[in-house]
Amino acid sequence: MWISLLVMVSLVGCMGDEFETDRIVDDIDLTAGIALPLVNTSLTMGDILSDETDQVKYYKDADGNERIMFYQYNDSVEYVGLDDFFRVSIDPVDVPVPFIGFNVEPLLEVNIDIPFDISDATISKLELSYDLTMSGSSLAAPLAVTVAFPTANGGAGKELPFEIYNNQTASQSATKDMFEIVDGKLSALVKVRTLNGETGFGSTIGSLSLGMSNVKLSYVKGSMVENAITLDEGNYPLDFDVLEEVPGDVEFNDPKLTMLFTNATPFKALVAADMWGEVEGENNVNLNALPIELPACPANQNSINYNYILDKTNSNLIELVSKKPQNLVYGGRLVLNPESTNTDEIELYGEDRIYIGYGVEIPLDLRLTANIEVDTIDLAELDFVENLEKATLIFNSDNGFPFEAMASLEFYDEDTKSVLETINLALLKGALVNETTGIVKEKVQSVDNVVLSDEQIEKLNISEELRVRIHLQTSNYDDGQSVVFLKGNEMDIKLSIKGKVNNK
Amino acid sequence: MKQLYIAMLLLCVSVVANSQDNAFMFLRGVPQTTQINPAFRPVDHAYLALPAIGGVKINGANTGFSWSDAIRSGSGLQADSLVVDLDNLASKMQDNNLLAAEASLQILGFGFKAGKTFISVDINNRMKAKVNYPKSLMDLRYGNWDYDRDVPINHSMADLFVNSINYTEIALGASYPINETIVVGARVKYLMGVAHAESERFNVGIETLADGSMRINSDASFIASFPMSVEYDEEGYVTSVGAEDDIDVKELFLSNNTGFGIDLGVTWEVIDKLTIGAAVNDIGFINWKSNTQQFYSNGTFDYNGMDVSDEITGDEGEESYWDTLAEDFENTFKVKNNEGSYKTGLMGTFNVTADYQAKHWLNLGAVSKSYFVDDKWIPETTFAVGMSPGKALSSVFTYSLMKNAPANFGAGLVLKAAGLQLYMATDNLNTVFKPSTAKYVNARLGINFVI
Repeated sequence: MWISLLVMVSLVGCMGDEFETDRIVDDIDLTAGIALPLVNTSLTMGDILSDETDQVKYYKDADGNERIMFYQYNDSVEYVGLDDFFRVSIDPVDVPVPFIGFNVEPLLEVNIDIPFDISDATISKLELSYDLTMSGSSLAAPLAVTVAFPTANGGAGKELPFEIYNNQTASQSATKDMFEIVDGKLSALVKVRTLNGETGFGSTIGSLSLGMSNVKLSYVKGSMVENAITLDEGNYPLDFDVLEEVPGDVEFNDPKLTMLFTNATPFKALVAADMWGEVEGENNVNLNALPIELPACPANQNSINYNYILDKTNSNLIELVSKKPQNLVYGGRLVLNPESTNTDEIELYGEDRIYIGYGVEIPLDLRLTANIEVDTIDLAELDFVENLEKATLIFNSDNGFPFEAMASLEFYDEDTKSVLETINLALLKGALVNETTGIVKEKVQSVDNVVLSDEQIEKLNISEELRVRIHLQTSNYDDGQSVVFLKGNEMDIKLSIKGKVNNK
Repeated sequence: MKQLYIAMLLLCVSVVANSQDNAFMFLRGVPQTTQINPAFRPVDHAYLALPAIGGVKINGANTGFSWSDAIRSGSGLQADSLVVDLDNLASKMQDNNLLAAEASLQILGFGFKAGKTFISVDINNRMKAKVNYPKSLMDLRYGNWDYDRDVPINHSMADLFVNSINYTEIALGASYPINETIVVGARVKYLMGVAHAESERFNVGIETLADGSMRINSDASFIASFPMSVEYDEEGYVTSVGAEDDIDVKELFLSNNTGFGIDLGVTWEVIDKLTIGAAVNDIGFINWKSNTQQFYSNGTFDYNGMDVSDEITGDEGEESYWDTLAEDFENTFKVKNNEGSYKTGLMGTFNVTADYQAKHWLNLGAVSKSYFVDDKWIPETTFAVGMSPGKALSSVFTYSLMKNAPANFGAGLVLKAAGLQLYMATDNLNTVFKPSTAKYVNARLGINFVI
């Protein structure tokens, strides 16, 4: 067979003129009818949200419907503890050093009281970590100083040695020393000697300044009256990627922001939080939440958990969520032991804190209207468009989603910078929903044939771009209907083209 | 490109048809005419065909269309050009069309008379190839949808059929007059198959549904015997097929592909000067055992458009949709193979002849031949006028009605001198004079010593 072919090719070399092959035109006049499925999809809501496993959860309602909820939890975003409850302020104490005394005695001892100023509280005992600093001035000679707390640590005492040079400061750190506080003061004994045993001083009187800083409380015993604490401003990042994919104006019917509290103190608290949503490029949206009363931890428990739900009845949450903020910013005040209802002497430890967290739950029960610019198709790259003689676009859908979609196809001419033709068509008819529950009760099938007229095909041929816009709208949107998306909502869509092409 | 295109067209008409040889049949005194009817007794005493050149036959046919059916003068702006006219080409085609080839080379041949019996011995290498292609293939040019009537155009290639065979035959023939008017003949053949390929079935169809979705069905099977290298994937499916690099020609021609065949014929002098004959040729089989393969594929592939579900859900993988689709398509029609033996026929023929000796130098004849391609009957008829002005010269002129070609003029000539006989014949003289309209090509020639 191949030999025959080769022979024939050779023969043809001699016979070209006989058949006048040079006169044969390359193009073959051909008019063909085509039916071509372009795109299709068959999806459920579960499919669409399959990648959002850390932000989406499904739950069944009383009727067995598997509903969808966007959620985000963080139960310990912020806390307030001992250092916030008991804001300790300690003024420095000056200790005079009469150098002449060293001519007689090598050791000079001075009793001092370090004042502990603690707002809204009366403290008898505390455990703290701290830095003890000492500086000297007008010193006639370097000193060796020991600061002793004789009553510290249950009578075991505590001493901290320093070498003090004139106009210099020395510091010592200590951790978890238990001190008795009497009348708001801590007693200490300062022992001073010259560093090198010098004598023969004149009447010079030096001065030592003793301060306590970087105080961290780990235990407090005492009582407290109403105590207002300022909450540092911070923010909760609302990483709802899935929300960013919800286009246009959306109004969720029943979003919830749950404030999560854990209180390990025996005091009630009143949380007056300022919270607002940070929206990129737009004004912030205030949550306008009322103060939240937090119960005290019962004596027989280590802590108490308390959740407070902010929703459309007690806050501006619907508007806040509809704006899809990137962050939820918080600040405000926490009033501990309001109206001083607890005047008992109590003991608090470092882990006795009030934790504040949050949980956002947004059920997919919403109204939506959105315009989406889906795509711009470069017609210059689609050769077959030039050969199109007839065309019908067919949209088949079987929609169980509670929204409808309209498409707008614009034939854009680059030369005249104008839209030559606009074709509007119904891509999807929204599924029928129960007016009370908003749940889909019946899928809706539709077939929309768009027959392009000769004039439209001509305009399509001279257009450079095909711009596709889609408008989405939930079922019964104009009636104010909020619709519920269920995991099992499904839709089938198929787009086909039928036409006639000529390859001229 | 055009040269190749023309070559393909010419190939269509120059490959060899199974039948024809009709002008050759009426040549006087040519011993090879016994291959058409073993009861013929063209030689009085004995003959020897010159090795390799005693009988050479090449037949070709493309019954569907000729060059001029496909390439025609343009009109309008293309008036001075030639255009490919698919509509005209299709209008010339029949529902089923034959692309056929046959070649035969007589390696050795001799015969002699022993008593009343004439015995002949032949060794021939023969090749036959047939492709049946339906006119419906041309409907592919209409696409898959009749837009004006809004109905689908479905395509079926079930009538596509390919069969080709190459074998060597060692034949022992004898003709014997059972009385003064009837001669019977038979030729028994031992066959050695060289190569074979055949489509057992080719049920391939493209169906378009009302919504434009397309479905491609395939249930195809090919059998073949030829030294091939077949490669497989890990699941045992065939990934590539090619000819073996080093083919042992000796092994190819002396393989285990053996079989038997028989030709049977009879002539009857009905009345004085009028003889009719009938013959069935190439009845038999070859049992193919060497280098055999059966390739088969069965699947249905549905195309509903680009599935954008993964794009919507964000689950699209690294592989593009089109790559995945192509992979699915290949997987749907994966080819399996078996290596078992199989048996085939020889593409037999049947002919009826009539010969009237009007004058001693003039005879009139007719032949009707029939053969089958994929169970489809293909007949042809030839009328002949033979003139033999002397023993040294015999000639014949024929007019044949062939499939989709109602007018074929042929001629044959035999020259004989001192026992050396040169003959040549063709059924398709018009092919020589006007190749652009040719659908058939046929030539038969050879040199014998005849006593």
